[in-house]
Amino acid sequence: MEGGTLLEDWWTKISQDFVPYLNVTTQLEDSPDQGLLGEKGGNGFPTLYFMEPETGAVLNDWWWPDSEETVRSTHDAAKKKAADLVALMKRAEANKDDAALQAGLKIKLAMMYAGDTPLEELGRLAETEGLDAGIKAEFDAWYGGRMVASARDEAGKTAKSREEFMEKAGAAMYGLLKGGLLLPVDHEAAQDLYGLGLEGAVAAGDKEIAMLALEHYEKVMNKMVEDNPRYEEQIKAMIEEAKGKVDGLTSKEA
Amino acid sequence: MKRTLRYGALLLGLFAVAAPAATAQGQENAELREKYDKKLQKEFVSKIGWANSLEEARATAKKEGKLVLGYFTRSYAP
Repeated sequence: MEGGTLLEDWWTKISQDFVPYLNVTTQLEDSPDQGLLGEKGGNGFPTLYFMEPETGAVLNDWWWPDSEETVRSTHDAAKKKAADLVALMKRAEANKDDAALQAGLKIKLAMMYAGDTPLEELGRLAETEGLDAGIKAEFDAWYGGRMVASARDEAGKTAKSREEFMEKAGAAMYGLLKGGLLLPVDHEAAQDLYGLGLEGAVAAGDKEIAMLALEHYEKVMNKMVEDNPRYEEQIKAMIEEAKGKVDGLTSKEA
Repeated sequence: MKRTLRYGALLLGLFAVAAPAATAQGQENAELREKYDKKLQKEFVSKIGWANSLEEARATAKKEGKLVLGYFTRSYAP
């Protein structure tokens, strides 16, 4: 992208319509805004986010600027979302005693990575009577993903090796599965939840959760093959490896 | 295009699951600094006027009634 799209004349022109901000993760402590990508819900490079300036709210999911039209349409959609957010903020400001509205705003900002309300509190706020049904539905889909991302980040922060990470993240995902968390096959955090959760369940010797994780992991990976047949061989091998781990657990038990 | 890239990224994530923050430990600061400087010298950086901090970008965007577009990239690895 840096040697292509970002050198195009149309890019230079369209960039006048917004304020471009460059964030370089360097692993140097004195660089500005390190860790910001994670705070904004991102987990890979490169990532582009339109953000509302008052709150820093993220206005789009992951996307790829493959053409001027894509940038323009993503920008237009972001402007619409920003306007909706500003309207909600104004309504909340004018109705400070409206608990459902206040809860809705806090939840909305958190889902756009602009709030500082802890995840657990968001879970409680989502139960507020009269909460906008659209916000509630959006939150339910988002919350599970954040629980997974938060557990994964926490393991990543403290682990000193890949093995330690797998152990810690696996245990965390296993805990989430055991607590009843399930995500749809096409959810971006599903692979982490079921793949790492399977590792955690195997490590804990929990056959029931390991089989549950495997069942969903296989669906997630098969969906991936469906969308990207060229990865079929690698993905099938990963499924077989996962099956082998669960089989090993079953035979140990026997 | 988008889905392929996304899944490609997911697959890469699988093989390199969790590169913990510790990956930088083996690299000297001087080497990281050099990579960072090299990144900032790329043509795409001088092509348009990027804000260097989110705070600066938000202030400008508020003043001009625009949105911020954050481009997140890295310099420590290709």
